[in-house]
Amino acid sequence: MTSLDFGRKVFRVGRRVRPFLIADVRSTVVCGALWIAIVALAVYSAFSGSAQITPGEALQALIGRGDAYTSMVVLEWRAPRVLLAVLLGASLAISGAIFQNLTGNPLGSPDVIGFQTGSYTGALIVMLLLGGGSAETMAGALLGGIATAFVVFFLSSKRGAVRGVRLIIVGIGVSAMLASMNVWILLTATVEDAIMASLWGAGNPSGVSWATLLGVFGGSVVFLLASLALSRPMRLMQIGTPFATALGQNVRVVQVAAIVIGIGLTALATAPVGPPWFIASAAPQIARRAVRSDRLALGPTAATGALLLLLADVLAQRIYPDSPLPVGIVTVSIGGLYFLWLLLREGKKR
Amino acid sequence: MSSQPATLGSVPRDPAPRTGPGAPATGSHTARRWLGLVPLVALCVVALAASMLVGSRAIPAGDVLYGLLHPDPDEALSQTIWFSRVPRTALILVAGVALGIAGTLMQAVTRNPMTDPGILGVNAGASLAVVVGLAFFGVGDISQYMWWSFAGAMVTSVLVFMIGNTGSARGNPVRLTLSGVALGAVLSGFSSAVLLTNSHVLEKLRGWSAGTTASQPLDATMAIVPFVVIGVVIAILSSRSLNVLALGEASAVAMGAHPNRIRTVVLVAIALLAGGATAAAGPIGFLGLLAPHLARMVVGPHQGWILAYSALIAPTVMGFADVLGRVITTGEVPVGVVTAFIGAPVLIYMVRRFRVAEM
Repeated sequence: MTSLDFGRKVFRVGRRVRPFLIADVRSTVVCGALWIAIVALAVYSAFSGSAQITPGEALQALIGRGDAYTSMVVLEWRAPRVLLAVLLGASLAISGAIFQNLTGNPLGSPDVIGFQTGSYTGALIVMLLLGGGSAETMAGALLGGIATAFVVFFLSSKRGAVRGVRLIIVGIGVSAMLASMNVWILLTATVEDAIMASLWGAGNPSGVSWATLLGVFGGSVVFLLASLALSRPMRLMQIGTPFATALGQNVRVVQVAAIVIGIGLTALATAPVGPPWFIASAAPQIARRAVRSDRLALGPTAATGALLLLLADVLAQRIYPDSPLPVGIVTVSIGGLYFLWLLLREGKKR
Repeated sequence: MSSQPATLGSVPRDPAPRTGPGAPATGSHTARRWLGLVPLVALCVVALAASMLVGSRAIPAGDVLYGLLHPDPDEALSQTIWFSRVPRTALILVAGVALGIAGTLMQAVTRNPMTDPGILGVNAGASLAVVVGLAFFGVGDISQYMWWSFAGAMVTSVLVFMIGNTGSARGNPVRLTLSGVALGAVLSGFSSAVLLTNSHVLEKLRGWSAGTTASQPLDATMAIVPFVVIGVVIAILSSRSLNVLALGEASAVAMGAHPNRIRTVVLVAIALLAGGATAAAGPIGFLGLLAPHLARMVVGPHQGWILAYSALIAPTVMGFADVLGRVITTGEVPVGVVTAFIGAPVLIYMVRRFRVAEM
């Protein structure tokens, strides 16, 4: 009995012939390292900040023995923010991986094809034209993102089939329209309102409450678990639709499920704090290169996204302590520059 | 583009048929191409005339003509025409031509039909340079920040080409578009970082950053004219080389062309055109994408003709878009917003209707 050769080192757990679990060594190591980094950064982020609190006091607050002020800062302000960054980063990265897999193109991620721009438009309409509060803004962003996704898919489908390049170009078109509409809405507002709204549009997770976090968590976990279930069929689809069909897969069902999951994750991740740009397109690409895999690698992708967003949030609060930057600007810079560097390095190597 | 048979045809003023793959059809093509110019020029004139005639203040056509011919600093009517309508119309013409040609050059040199200075981040680079100049270096008027805009456009286009065109990825359109989109995103991120922390710059650049013809005096447009002219001349001179480049890297080299030399020269032209247009009118998207596509639908794959048609189509579209923006609401919709609303549906229609060359 020979064991299957996967072409790369794998861990086997369980029986030799039909192992209970097969884990890629490199991917496991990368995932482990990323999560260690995330935890370290999360601890750093919870223990430091502009409020004068020593690490000892913060620890006291975390285990429930701090004074009222410290507890409020650490438990009510910092902790939900850190957890939200991790959750949103992972959600966005997974949705990016799903769309990039579906379209077979790194450009086919939700931020490029306009879903986040749509969320922004929805939020702007609520904030500036209807004068809604933060809960209404969130609802507006959710609706805007989902509606945009449906429009993009409707416009790019032809006889029920969505092709990668067509989807991306339709998405870029719709996204550009919405972006210019956003500019116009901002122009009609006063400068103060415009700055407030632009801050939302660049992703601003300050002042997140536990209620928001739990709401987003409840929704995202369902979609994240569903994406886990989809990872096998989606890998199969990556080989090619005819091949997947021949192997007995119901390609249409998988595609629709993947689209619903991807849209749900993006919309949920954008609605609470505004769009953290570029996580969705950069994280899957970075993760794929880190694990040297050509296929869908959901675990490392989620970890990369979470780390990226958390890192961006930590940096955003500390670059200018006087006026913290919106996190989206930092994600664009970190993700974008790293992405460019990867492209440059790959181009040189061969 | 690459999937279409490239016709090694003639330059505009040389209608004689040549030997080659496209030779039998060349004669009738050329006739059709010349014929097509007539309605196009007429439309362009109509668009520019509309821009002179339509505005928030209703002025009869006769009075417009009179005010135009008799500039009088003491009369309100003449003032309106010379300080509002004329600068806008001139800007539409200059920026339109510049953007149409920049888009054509961009698509030709990248051999990618889905690019324009907006998508490849050149407009974003020009904007960032202007924003930085205004915020940190106290740059005040257009004659100064025009240079920032050129520099930004130049640096960005060189960067995009360097990143997207190194090593094995040379000539790979996906790689190029990818690096353009990434670079554009990073640069606009930097712009927003500066704008959101400097509210006085935001207030100053709010209108400009939407892409508008409303705020610039005539001098501003005149300041960019020389650069646009240089860009156009380079474009016309390099149209033959671009035809050769359209055959692909290997074939172009085999035919004695120097692809990198062509790219460098064209890059300078793109920076001059896109940088100039962005300096005067702000980042205006989709004109550079739309015009060459419409042109190619009529004239086929011939760079010289595509350039000529694009240079007419872009100001026409921009003129109608600007006029539409003036009348559609009580305030005014910036032309950049209107071109996006015209250009994007056309792009979506095209990508649904035709088989787009795979990226």
